[in-house]
Amino acid sequence: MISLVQNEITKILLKKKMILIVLLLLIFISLLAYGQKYSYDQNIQKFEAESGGVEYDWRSLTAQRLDDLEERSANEFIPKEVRASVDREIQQLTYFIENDINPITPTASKFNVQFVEQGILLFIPLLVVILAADLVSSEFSNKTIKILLTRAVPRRKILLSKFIALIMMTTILVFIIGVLSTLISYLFFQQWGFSEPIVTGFNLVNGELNANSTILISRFQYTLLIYSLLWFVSIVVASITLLISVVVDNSSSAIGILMASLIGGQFLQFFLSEWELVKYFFVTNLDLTRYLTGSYQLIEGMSLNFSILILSAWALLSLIISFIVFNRKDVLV
Amino acid sequence: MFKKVIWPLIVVSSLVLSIIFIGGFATSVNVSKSEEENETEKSMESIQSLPGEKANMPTDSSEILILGDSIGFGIGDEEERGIGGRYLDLITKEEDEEKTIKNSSIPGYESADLVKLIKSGENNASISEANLIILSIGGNDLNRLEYEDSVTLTLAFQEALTNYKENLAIVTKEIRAINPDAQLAFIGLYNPYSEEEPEKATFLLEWNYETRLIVNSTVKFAYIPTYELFEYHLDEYLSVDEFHPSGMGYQVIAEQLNKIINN
Repeated sequence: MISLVQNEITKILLKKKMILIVLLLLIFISLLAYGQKYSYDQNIQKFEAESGGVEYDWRSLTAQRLDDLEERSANEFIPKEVRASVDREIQQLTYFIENDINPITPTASKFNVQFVEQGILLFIPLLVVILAADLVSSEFSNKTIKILLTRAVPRRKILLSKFIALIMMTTILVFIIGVLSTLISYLFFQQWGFSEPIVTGFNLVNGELNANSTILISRFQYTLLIYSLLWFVSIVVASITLLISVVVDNSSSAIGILMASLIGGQFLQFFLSEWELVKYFFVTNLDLTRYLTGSYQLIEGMSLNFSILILSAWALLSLIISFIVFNRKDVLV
Repeated sequence: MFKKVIWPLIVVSSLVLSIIFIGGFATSVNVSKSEEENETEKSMESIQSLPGEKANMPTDSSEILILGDSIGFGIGDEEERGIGGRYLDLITKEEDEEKTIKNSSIPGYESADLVKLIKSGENNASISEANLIILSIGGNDLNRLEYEDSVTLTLAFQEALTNYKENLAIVTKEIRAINPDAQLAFIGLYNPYSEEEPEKATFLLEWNYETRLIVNSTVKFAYIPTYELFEYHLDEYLSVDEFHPSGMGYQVIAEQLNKIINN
């Protein structure tokens, strides 16, 4: 079994997919990091121009905001939940002032999270698809499946070894994404910012943002959480890709099908957000990070646990189907 | 090369990373779990409170009471329906439910007059019956200051504001004492003379802000902002006297009111 997995890993590495993916990542991350740096500088310049040549002084602005918040917190009429979230923001800002950190400067730890938030719906799943789409189908199109199946190994073991190899490579891919986005953005921003505190744990109650359950954690922990979610999503995407790869015996149509469903799913989400069934589609649930950031949700009644359940169901189902199909498939080449 | 270096590297790193990721994944699920508990508590609360509200609505006579000054009265509305009438049209369209309006506004009233009116007790019956009480007051308190000169203006404004705040607090307390359940709504002030003297707008904004502090610190008392609504639409939303809202202006206020308290 181990040698089978080893064999599959060798195949993936020999295809030089990883190099292609790393190149893509390098290009996109550099572009995005440069763009963010550029717009940050532009903003500072704009601010200085507007305020009539006064140098941008974040300390006084932050202190002012802090005063505002403290005044609000001291007001006995505000509800308890509001005060809790105000207090948390005060804690956050106090940290920034005490440690002499400008809260709006782009840092590497902010960038790597943003990269995931933006990429988790399309870009990163596509990278996984590139990695996984021809895993089985290329065996058919290259006619190597014959050689593979003539060995005295049950078919399910062959598919299982492919799946394990895929999971290993996906795990490494997620790690590479994290390392590359952190390192490259550090080159641009010159700041790590891993110990900065961040507020997380928002949830929506009856369509309103509820800050009741928010907690304050460091950026490093937050990055870890976000990348763990990304890892889970990537494995789900990999499993679904495996199914398509088994069913379709042509790598390019496998990639095509997955791209179409990823992009089409986005449309569904936007145009049919009223439709109950949309929330059971896997693309709708891919963006797990938004549950941590507390950003706007398109469809009501979705929570992190719900999405994880739906995604796991999709992954399990596609694995089961791909094993059944692969076991019964006629090999006519 | 592959067997000796890359293969062990890949195995070890993917194993370690998987463990880290599973750990992180479990933590984020945990983070959300505590949320979920909150959520169920919250939703239970809201379920409990919802039937109460719903039960109130049909059994009580569903009255709307309007108290205050000329804006509450509806001066300037070509169709003479005012906020109340227009608001009623909006909600009857949605609910098919008959509601009645009682308009006890008196044009020209200042906050002190409203206090007297409420203390006189002549509106006690309608206050206790009402489901929604719309308050519009303060415009005349502020407008009186038009005739102050710039030296005394700031002082006069502070005095007027202090009196007004006291009066508003008394009005709120009196209404709440008679009817603790009704939804209250306060129609904020807009600026009818926007372009002429921008510095006077700061007085109005401070006035609205102070009002808002009082309004929002009371249970079930909604503040209906109108300043922003009117700011760039004075031509359409002001009536011919260039002070009171036009029919369109009242319509916009009514829609805002509906949006804020009914959704």
